[in-house]
Amino acid sequence: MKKAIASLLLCVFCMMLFTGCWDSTELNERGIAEAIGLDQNDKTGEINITVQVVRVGALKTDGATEKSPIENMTASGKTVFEAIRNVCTQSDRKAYFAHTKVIVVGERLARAGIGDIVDVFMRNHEGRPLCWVMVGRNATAEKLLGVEHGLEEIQGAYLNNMIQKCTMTSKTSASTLLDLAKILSGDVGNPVTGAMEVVDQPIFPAEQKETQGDTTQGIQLTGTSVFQKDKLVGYLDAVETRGLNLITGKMKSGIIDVPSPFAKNKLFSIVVLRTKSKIDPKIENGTLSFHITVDEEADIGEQQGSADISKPEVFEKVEKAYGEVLANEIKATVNKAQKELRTDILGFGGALNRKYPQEWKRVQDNWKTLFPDVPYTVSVSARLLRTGMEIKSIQQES
Amino acid sequence: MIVSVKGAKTRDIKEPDTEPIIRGPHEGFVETLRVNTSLLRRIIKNPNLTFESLKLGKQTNTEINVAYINGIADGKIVEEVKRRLNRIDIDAILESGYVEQLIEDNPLSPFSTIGNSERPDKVAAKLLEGRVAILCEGTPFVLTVPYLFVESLQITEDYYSRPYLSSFIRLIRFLAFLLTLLLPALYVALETFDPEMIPTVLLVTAAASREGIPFPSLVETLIMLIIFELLRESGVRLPRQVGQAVSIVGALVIGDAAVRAGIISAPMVIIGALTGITSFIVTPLLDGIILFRLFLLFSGAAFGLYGITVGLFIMLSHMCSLRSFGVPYLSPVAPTVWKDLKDSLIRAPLRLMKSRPASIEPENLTRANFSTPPNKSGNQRNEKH
Repeated sequence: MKKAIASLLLCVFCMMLFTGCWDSTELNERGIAEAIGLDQNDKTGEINITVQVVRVGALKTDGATEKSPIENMTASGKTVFEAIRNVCTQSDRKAYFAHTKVIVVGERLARAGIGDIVDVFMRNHEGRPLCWVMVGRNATAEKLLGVEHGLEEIQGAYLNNMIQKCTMTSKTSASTLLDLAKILSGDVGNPVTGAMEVVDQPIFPAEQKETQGDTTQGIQLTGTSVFQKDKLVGYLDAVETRGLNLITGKMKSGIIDVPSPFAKNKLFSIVVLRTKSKIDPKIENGTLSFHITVDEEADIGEQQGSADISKPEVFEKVEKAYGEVLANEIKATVNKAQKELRTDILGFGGALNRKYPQEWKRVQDNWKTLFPDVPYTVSVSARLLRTGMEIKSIQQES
Repeated sequence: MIVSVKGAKTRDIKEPDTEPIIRGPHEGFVETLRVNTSLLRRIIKNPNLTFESLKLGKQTNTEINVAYINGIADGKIVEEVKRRLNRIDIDAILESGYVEQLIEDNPLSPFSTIGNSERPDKVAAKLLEGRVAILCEGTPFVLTVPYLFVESLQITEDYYSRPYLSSFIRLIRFLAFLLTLLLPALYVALETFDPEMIPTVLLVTAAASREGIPFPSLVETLIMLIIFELLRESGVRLPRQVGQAVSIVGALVIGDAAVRAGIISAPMVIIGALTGITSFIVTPLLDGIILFRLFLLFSGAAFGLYGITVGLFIMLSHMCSLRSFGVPYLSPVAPTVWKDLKDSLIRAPLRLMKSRPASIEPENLTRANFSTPPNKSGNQRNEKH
């Protein structure tokens, strides 16, 4: 009996020590990293890392210092992990990556390939698969993380909030580490993610203009960065990005300008509510084609001009014009992906793999050359539901 | 005919300080045994209410009464109580606590398996459930057995007010039990092992307030818990007028000055205060809570959330092994007695609680014969019990 109890106690004690994440670290020994920037060094080709650590002392409610609430620390190394460790040579706290919101990759490094970056952050136990990976368009990550803008005190939180709201327009896109890892580990598609660039912002207050010039810097989300496998090959602009979101069904909201069928140079603003999309591959007589179906529901948010949209026939005309705009946007995006970028970011390969796995196996190796010329059709069903709080136009002559 | 009419001066019947309630009778037991038995008799006017007298303590000859209702209480438990009482061989019984500690099933366990109360209505309710009460000359605290874990969440007022509020407050009491047990351990484990579980904004705020605190969070937590116990003890011991001064000084010193001086971080004050306040909600469990709170705190500080899980597992297996006069301490939850769950974490409407708690195996299980709803054959079903 005593032996049994002793061995049980031994087992319990051993179990305690067998777990993976051991050892405690006090909060004031950790540096909470909110954002990470990665660049390729122009000269040496090494990886430059910028770790944005929160200076918590500056956020204290009383006795706060005047210092900036973040501190950017940079280091370089031949691998990402080595670079991360090299940060320790200049930092008084061990960087802690479990709360990292954004990983910004400089354009140069993105063109060289992001596969290794995804690997290190997926492999590390502190990294979170749900943090955003963004590309700095025409900018290094170091520069982007150094721009002070937005209402949040911590720049990483500002970037995170801004990216999270990108569904409001659907004109930008963003992918998490997990999204990228999923696509990169398969062999059917190519990843896309968002892009950020540095823009000029007017400076406030006006007195500072005398000392600091007319403008200051801000950050803006712009379109989509397109990868072939893990290498950056180009960008989609705002409207093309919306076309991509329409095709992939990621369009959650957004404003679409529809030319008014009743007056020249007048527009309707359509508020998108719901989108469903489907890519359907077809093989007829041995030729492969794709059929893109998009169902969208929307409200009228604004009308320029004075059309009486309370009349069903008028309403239907707007609906039809709206459907045409959608179809055109989709076609423009597919053309750009096929002819210019020559990269299947639309999920054609994946759809083919799901429906005709045998056929996909046959074309898989040549898909890169086949994709740019594969025929496709688009059918859009656009429905307008409501007209907002006004039924007729306010400017309407009665 | 000669009749002895001597009588000693006794304390008046007053509302007990330990168990104040809002709705319900406000009288409490006193130090005189006869008064206490008469208080019970006035509630249960029934010849089956039995008091069996015996004398304990070689020097003090303290009179002890075992009370139970014949035909409801389990005869075996009554016999067991009397057997254990008769085995006591001690020179003095000064309070019922002596008896309690000498007849417990598990004298070394931090959880008490014998209940006590100063309220006649509460003891009467326990007797009517089929429990046995032990009254002791010289103390207003009456013991009741068997005593289970769920009873520490039950208050007489639960049954006097309507079931919805009572059920909600029961859940709150259970929450208080969890909080007072786990809060310090969780705080330390989350801060030192698993900050990824804390939302970023909260983590940054917590880190900001911990900035410049010289102690590790375990030490900080221990300081806070000890300060709270110090304040509590001095508040109880000091005369009431001085006690108030102590609490003001304590509130200022801990709440404000300690944070400003950079000895304790602001979230720690909240954790400490919550832990202390919630412990008063489940006072019958305080023994076990104080011990296991420290145990969980240390295992959490050494092994993180995993340590807390293992610690909780050890605590639960200990609680499962406890018996109170043969009844499993955690019943009706483990072993599950479905019928009794109506009066555990919630308090079901009276009309649904037709039987006495089956886990203590009373001889007569039927408490009530409600014919609800009138058109259904509710009466016949109940008679089968």
